[in-house]
Amino acid sequence: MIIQRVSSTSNFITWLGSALLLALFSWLAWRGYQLNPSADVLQRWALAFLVSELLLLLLLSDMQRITRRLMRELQQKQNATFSEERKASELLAKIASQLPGMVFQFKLTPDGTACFPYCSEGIRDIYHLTPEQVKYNAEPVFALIHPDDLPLVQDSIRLSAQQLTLWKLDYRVRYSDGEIIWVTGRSVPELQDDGSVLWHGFINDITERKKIERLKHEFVSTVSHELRTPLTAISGAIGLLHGEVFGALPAQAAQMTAVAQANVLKLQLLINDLLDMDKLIAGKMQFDIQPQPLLPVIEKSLRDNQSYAQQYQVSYQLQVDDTELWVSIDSLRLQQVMANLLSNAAKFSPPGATVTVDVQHLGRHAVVRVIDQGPGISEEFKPYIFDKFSQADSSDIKSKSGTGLGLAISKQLMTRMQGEIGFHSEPGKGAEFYLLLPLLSTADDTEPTP
Amino acid sequence: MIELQRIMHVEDDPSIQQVAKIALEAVGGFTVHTCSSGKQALADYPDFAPQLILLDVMMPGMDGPTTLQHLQQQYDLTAVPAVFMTAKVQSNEVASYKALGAVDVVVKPFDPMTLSDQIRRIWSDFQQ
Repeated sequence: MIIQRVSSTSNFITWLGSALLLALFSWLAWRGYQLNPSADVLQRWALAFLVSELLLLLLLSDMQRITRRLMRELQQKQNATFSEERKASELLAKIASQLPGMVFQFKLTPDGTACFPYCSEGIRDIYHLTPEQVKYNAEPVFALIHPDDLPLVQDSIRLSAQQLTLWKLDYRVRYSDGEIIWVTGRSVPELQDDGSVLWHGFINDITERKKIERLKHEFVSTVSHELRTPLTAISGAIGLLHGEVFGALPAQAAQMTAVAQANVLKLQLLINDLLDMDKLIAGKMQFDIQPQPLLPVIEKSLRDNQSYAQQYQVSYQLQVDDTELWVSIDSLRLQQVMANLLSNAAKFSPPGATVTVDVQHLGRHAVVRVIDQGPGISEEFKPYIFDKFSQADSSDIKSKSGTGLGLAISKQLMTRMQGEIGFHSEPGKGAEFYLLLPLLSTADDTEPTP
Repeated sequence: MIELQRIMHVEDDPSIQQVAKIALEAVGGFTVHTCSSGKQALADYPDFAPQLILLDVMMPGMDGPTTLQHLQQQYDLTAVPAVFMTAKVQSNEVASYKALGAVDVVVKPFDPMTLSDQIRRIWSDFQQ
């Protein structure tokens, strides 16, 4: 194309140049002949014309040659780039074909139209579509999203486009035959010069994972329920025996019923903890968060745990520097956290010891400290203390009853109430657990006037 | 105030039936009539004429709330409080049980030594 144009241009220049040269030299020859009318003059000018014509032709052919060479080089370079691009896209396709799910580019233009400029072959598994079907129009994909989840998907894309934040969502895809799968999507948006938004991301099938999650949840709740029924009968029967409803028991029998009763209680606590943990993880635990004074909740926790502490011959001592601390909490859940800290403190204290509970006003927070005189927490155990089923069980520490779930649950509960839980401890110098709760400002409307 | 004497206990598990019967009769001094299913409760209600009904929530066949519904449809229960018995519940669940017509909820496992006191308290709250 370009080479043809170059050669036709040079042809034109040849003709035009030749005509101009002919006219110029004819005129010069005529002028010279007028001044000196001899054949010599004509001969000289004709020779000059021929030489300059020859020079012109040489010059033009050279130019053509150089242009042709340049063009050839350019084309070769272009071909090389093309093959490199092809290689890169083949490489991408090869890698993408080995990924579970699909990788994609999704483009949303300001007029609301959407498409998938790039999409790996994985779209065949996820949406039962081909990359070509969605290259210029994303509609076939949206038509397959479960109608109940479609608004959620559309809203999340809109939000991601507006705020240019990561798009991340689990939703369902429903095929034409009615089969439903769960997928998880994740992609990063980029604003383009033309105002459109381009996401790069992936979508993966998580049907299996969802199934396992549901099974696990069902398993935990079924087992817990199935355990509860016999446990109710056992604890009831032992309670009646131990309560001497059928007459006084011999001393050793009474001792045995006490052992049985204590262990039934332990089982009960374990099942409750398991169910709580399950509910917290599944996000199904309901919180009844109300603004209220903190102190009565702490005082109630101390009263409720008094008898437990007496088993270990430990007493609680309350220190308060501010009696008017208002916080936003679920009082039952905070009592659950306090019961955990108080029972731990009692368990790990030597007989006759005092556990100090300290309620303080600290800046914008209320702090509750539970300080014991126990063996403290070893350096090795510190990182795992809030993990599930963690209990320090090194040989120098007496084995203590408990489920190993208490602190993990407490941490979750505190987080849900916008609070924090933490500890300080040096081995051999006791442990101090603290709770931090944001204070309601005294000018808060939700706080009734006393 | 009328004194509570007759309690109908609807529970499918035979072991829990026995424990509750002794806890309420031997410890609390009540008269307990035990029903193993919602169906039996519906049939036995007129003869026993309970003053209070204690219902297990989870039962095969007809569950506690459904049994209560049928009882309310067939008999006048305005003077007969119903109490559900169920595993550890969240506060919002208690509210939903109350919406189903129960006056209170007894948590399982229950303490057999204090069950009667708890029932008596529920009874006296209901009377007021």
